[in-house]
Amino acid sequence: MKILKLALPSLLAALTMSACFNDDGIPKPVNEEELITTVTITLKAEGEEDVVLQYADESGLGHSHDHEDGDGDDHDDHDHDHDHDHDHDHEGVEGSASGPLKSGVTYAATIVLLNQSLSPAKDVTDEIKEEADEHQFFYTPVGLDITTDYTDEESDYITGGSENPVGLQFTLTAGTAGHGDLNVILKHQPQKPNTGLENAGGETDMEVNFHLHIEE
Amino acid sequence: MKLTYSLLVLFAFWAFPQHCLSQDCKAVFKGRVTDFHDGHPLENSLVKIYNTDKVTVSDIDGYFSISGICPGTYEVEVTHDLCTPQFITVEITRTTTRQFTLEHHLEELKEVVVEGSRHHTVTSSATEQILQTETIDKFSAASMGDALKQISGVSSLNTGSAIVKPVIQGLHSSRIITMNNGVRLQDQEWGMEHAPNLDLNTAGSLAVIKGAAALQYGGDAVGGVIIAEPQKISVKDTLYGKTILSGATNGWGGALISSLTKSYKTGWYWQAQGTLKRFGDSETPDYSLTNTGYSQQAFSARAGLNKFTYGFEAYYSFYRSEIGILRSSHIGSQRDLLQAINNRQPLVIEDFSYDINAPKQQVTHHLAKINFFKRFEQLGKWTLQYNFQQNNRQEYDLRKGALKGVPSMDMRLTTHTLNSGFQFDAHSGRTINVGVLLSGQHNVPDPATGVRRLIPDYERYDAGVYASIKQSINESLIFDAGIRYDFNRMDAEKFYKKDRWESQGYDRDFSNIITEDFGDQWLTHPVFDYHNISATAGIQYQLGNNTLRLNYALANRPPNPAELFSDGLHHSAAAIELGDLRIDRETSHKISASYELKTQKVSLSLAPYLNTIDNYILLEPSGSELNIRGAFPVWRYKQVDALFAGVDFDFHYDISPHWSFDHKFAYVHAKDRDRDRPLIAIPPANTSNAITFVKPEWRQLTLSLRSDYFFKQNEFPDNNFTISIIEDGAYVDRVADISTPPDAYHLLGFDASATFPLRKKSEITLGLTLNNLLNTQYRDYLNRLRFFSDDLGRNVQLSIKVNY
Repeated sequence: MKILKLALPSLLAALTMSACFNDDGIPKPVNEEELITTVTITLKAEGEEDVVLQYADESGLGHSHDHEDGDGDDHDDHDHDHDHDHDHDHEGVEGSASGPLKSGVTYAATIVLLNQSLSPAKDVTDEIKEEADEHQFFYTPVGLDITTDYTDEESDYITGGSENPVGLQFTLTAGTAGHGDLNVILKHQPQKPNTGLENAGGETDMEVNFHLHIEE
Repeated sequence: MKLTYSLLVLFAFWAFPQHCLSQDCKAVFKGRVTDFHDGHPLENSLVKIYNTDKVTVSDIDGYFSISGICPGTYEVEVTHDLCTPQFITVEITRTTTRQFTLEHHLEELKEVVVEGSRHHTVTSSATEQILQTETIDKFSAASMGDALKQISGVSSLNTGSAIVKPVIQGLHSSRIITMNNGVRLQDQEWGMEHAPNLDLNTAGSLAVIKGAAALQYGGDAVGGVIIAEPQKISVKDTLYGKTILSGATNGWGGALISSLTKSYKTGWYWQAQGTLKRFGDSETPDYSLTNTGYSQQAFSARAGLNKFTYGFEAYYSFYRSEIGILRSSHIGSQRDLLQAINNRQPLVIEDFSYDINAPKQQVTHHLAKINFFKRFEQLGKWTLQYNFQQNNRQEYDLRKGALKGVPSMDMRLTTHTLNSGFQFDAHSGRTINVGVLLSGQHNVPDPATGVRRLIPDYERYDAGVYASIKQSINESLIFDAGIRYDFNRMDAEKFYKKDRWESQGYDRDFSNIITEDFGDQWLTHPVFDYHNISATAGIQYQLGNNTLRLNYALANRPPNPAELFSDGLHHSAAAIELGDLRIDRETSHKISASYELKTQKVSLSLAPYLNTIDNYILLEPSGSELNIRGAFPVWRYKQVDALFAGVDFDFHYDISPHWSFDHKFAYVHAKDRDRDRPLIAIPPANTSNAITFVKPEWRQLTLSLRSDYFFKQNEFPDNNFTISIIEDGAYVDRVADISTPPDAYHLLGFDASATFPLRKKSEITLGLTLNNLLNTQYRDYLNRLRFFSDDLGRNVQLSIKVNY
């Protein structure tokens, strides 16, 4: 009997506790705060028209390639809006250029990253400046005769920063006429200094390709 | 109790002095002594009347009679070999009759006093193995998963060396039930890198039931049950404790474990135990593994009353750990993964440090329980238990700006469980267990992380009833069987990005569960009910030194929240993992057998099994997704019919009084029957051998040389993918080999220990353990960080254990 006297209150306590579950109401949606939805590279050269390279994807979800067809029923959504002239499955998303580059011209370039899924839009570039020592952009031409050079260093953005490049500012020199890709990668916490992507490591925060034409 | 008794004796002396003897001493005291449980007569019980010379023993039917007593009031003691003595005060006049019922199961309560562990198994017919306190103490600085690997057929799924998930005969995560002091652990066990939130030092014994035969714990243990039980506390006046201090060279850290136990003859007891662990970066033979330090704090306390006919216990345990994840394993896209694989060693190798930075995980687990039991004469034992658990998991990724230091995942899982059971043990040779369980669970992922929830808000309700029987047919044959029904309801509130909703085809099948439109997201309210039946039956046949067991178990497991709802990027895998609302429960039919031989010199056990799992839930690559962070493979949860077949073998041989040899072997073959191909992440065959020298005369000196050999897993599915990377200004296609298991490896280890008396009843044990003696370079197929780095190099560990 003694046991029952002890057991009953605890049983009641247990039931009351379980009944307090529903106190949170409906959950709030989460808007991804770390997205980079817009990448803009502005290329300027004296006497030349500005060339603007831009990529925008507001959902940040990208798009999927379903190469599995076992169950087969969700295979009907191949509606890529990008003008692929070759289909590489795994090479990153592709942005567009406002016009051709001119052969032999060296452009001064700046890159700006925004998160426009938040309102007001967040300038991700500011965060990169604040953490210049933890970030670096890499610009790699593919089948395209251009050369790039960093024109900034960490000390431009943070006090006591080193001379390691960041890549928010760079020059781009167009070589012989032709067309190809400019691959742009932002690494978070790469090894610095490094000699390039091959020993930078770190986490890829952003990777965009721009298909560019160089004209005489 | 003791005080009352002495007072009574005193009173007896004072009130009825010796001159009574001269009175007319013709009174008779008689009666019968029976067993409390089954009313069965207790022969040879000693009946003693204090302050007289009258003593007698009961006959074969439990009857006794003492004559020639002077009328008066006496203290009578009734004792039986294996029983708690009983004292009563009786007034004896003429012929006085009294019945005595004694607790005949004292050996159960007492056994652990000496051994500190349990002997009897949970089931009769299933394959079970138990690790005792001695072994647990040896692994005190490691994790439960490491200790359990001592059992054949148990391996582990690791993320580095600090996150160790047990794998039983090829199955893990939600397929294994972990019981901590009678409470089913609810600690988000679905995740591949979620190790059990349990400090192994709270356990006095660890038992593994390889399969679903122990239905009282749950009907969904497709893989098995791990039972961590605290040391049993004896019913006597005593105070004892234990402290273990250990230090290791790999990680330059150590552990401090201490416990104190106090018990009283009256049945009251309390125990408190605490563990502190702190390690820095561990290292491979060649380099330091940056950001692999970890820290753990755990505390548990219990107090209760253990009377023979009733008792209760209140228990609380706290567990907290912070574990660093190898810095270089935190990568972005598939290209990063390919680069990491091709590099063969981490790009970030810094000097040794104790710092634990992001990426890391931080987990807190609270468990509180209270239980009661009451024994009913000639019927059995009733138990009632309520427990509360709260598990908070925070995972930290590399983040920028204001979000630095904010976890990317922060989930709080709260569980209340009420269960009650009755054990009918009145008939000797037959035990019947029945029970019910009610449980409610609530998961809240914190939206403040700024990352879309990987697992949604949900409530889960469970209700279960079970009945099981164990019946001795004759002296050598035992039959056991059980059945269980469980109802589960999963009631979730989940956001879906609208494009994901459509690409999953949910717009066709689940449009009725949408509750609100949030622009680019739907809020949905999926509710799923599952009715599951599980059952088991088996026999145990014992003939001399041989024991044969045969068991069949049917288990049904409803899908876990990850399998239904996962929706997001998994960093160390560089993969997007997607659950599926269409996933249904999986059903396992397992037949296991075992043959055991125990002679003076040899003990061996051979245990083959066959487990067919219909609708086995697995995660596998299917397509890829391209976003601004790069290209990611998409891994989807799917269901296939699977088959697991294997064998566990244990062998022990006492070569001479001082030398012994141990051998273990385990092999499991696992197949996707639908597509006739191997399943992923199945432990390779492994064997371990040890030769041990024991010389009790020399301070219990024990020396042991161990050898562990892991074969290469040759059965694996091909999940490789091709990605195009930029080399010398052009795109080239490269294959990322994420499928091929690493080569076989062999590790040598050495243990030494000796015990010295310290003071009265105190002793000190010094231990030395060397792991990976030859500093062998290796990678393990079941370590999720095998793509990024080698496994641990040599480790020298020293420990001091004081028992007092």
